[in-house]
Amino acid sequence: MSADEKIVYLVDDEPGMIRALTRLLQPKGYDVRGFTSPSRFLEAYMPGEQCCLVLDVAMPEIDGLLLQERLKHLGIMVPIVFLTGHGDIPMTVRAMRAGAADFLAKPVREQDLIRAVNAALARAGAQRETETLAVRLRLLTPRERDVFDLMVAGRMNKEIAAELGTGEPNIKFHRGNIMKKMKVPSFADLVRLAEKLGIGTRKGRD
Amino acid sequence: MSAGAALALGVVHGLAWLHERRAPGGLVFLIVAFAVAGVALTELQMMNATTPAGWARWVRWFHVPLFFLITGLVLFVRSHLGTGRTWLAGTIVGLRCIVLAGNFTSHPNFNFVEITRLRRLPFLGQEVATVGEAVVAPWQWVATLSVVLFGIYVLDAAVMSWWTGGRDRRRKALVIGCGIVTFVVASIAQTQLVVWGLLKLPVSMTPFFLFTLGAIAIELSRDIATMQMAEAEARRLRDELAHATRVTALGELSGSLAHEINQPLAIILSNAEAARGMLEGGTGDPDELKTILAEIISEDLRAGEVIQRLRALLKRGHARLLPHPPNGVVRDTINLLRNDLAERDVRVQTNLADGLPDVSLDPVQFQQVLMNLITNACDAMAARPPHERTLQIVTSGAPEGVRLSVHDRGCGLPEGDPAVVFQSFYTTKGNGLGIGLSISRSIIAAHQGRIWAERNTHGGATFHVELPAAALSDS
Repeated sequence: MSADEKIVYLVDDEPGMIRALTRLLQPKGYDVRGFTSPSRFLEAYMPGEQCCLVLDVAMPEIDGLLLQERLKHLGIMVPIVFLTGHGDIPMTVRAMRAGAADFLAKPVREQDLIRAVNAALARAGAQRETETLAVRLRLLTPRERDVFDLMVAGRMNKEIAAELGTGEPNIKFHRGNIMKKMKVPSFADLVRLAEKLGIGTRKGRD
Repeated sequence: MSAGAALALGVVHGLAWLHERRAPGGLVFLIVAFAVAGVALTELQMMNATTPAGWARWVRWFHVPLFFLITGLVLFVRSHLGTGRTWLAGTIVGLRCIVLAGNFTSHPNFNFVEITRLRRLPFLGQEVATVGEAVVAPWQWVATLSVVLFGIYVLDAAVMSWWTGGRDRRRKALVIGCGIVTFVVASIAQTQLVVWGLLKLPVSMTPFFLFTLGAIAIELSRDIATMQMAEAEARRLRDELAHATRVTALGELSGSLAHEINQPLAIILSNAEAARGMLEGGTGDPDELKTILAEIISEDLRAGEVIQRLRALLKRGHARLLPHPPNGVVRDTINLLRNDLAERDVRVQTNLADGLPDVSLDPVQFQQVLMNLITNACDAMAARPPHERTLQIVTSGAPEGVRLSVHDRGCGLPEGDPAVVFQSFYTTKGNGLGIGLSISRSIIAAHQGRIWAERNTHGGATFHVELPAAALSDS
């Protein structure tokens, strides 16, 4: 995570709140972008950035929880830190179930906000890495994908060949291609990558 | 003594009935208890009779309370158990009517054609009189038949109640079955046997009847207790609902209050922390810090205003009555509701009289009443085709002030007394709470006015509000 990619989007219908939070976060090295309405935020949002969203729940146009749903629907996986003047338990549960990074009550202490924003950005970083890996995984042919799954499940080449009904040389060939496409130098790195994508554990239990 | 006990029980239950008219059992009990007292008195006279003619005279009077006793018990069984065959009840009462009529048209009474001699025999340590030699009337079987039918009727009703009902009905069936069938039938049978000359005893029904009265009294007091418990329960539920409504309103208020106050507090906190960070980091530009402080001050004032507004809102619990022109308030209210009325396709015709005196009113509260009346009228007309949805609002002079009337062409008022619509929690709407009109009535009462509802001759309802003129109410 590089320093220039600590992007924090602020969405709150009160300009005063945006100004105050900008003053608070900007000196800490965050790239703060404030918007007084969800639609302005959607116009400005660039996919692929490592960023998080600090979102007010109660807004006249669309409320924060609804915006969260819309973003999910649009496939925008930005981690959200909610801020609310009066949160109740059902509201919090609903937001967290829908994948919110955090849910904070106004007025919020600086350290709480910064902790939540950092956690959200870290999540965004991890998400971005996973997304990149997922793109690489999609480059594998169906046969390579089968071999990959069995490899990370800890099978020997001979076993894989027997299971897929082919010869060992073929498997060795696929292995080479897989390592190249997934851009990993060693088998151990490949297993780690699979773990990040949640593949190794799934196959391991079969 | 028996007569006294019967009378006392009768009076107690009669009073209970006067107090609680919805329990018809009390009235029936009163009749039965007085009848038992009458039976006791006439029996006593019969026992003390010295001549056959005297004895026969009291037998004749004996039939009057007996008629009321049997009729009363028939009614009690029907009203209390809810079973019992109507034709049987009718037949029994009919037969007793024949007996009663025949009793006063024949000589010396219904039961006998001639009584020649009295028999004196010891009874409970005293010498008492009973029939000795007499000729039983050929129509005596009518009286006997009525008693037999009465026994069958009560037994049948009790059995029906036992088979069709749950635990409570079974208990009732048992108590009434035993209390009436056993004792009444036994006592009347005894009397019949005495009359037929088969039993040498004085006519003495009363002790048996006291048991019957006791059984009925137990039943009735259980009923009254159940009714009172139901009422207490209803009252408790009402209180709970009112409490829940208050709590909900308070919850909503505190929710919006939390938001209104937490927003400026959050801005103040974040600004203050940002300023502190700037000062600590040595990056504090004085102009920037001044801006921050200015924002902190303005947000602080804003939070203070929220509290002020809330206090003003809570203070307006009492009506602040000031003279206002009534037509102005009516026009304001209609303007407020204009969009709503248009959306619901309701046309408003106003007919506001000129030269009305000012009335003392709290405009906010009065608007609430008028809005409630207009909204109700719209709801009532919702099922009508749009061109029929016409609302008429009329103001006119009244003897002591001003009358405002809201006429609609809606579904009208429920049957019966139209005043029920003002009762708390009375509603005809599926999703209504039933408090709008009841609140309206208390508001109008606080204005020293009155509100009432009328049915229109051509369908729909009219609500009238009368308020005293300002000068009159102030003096």
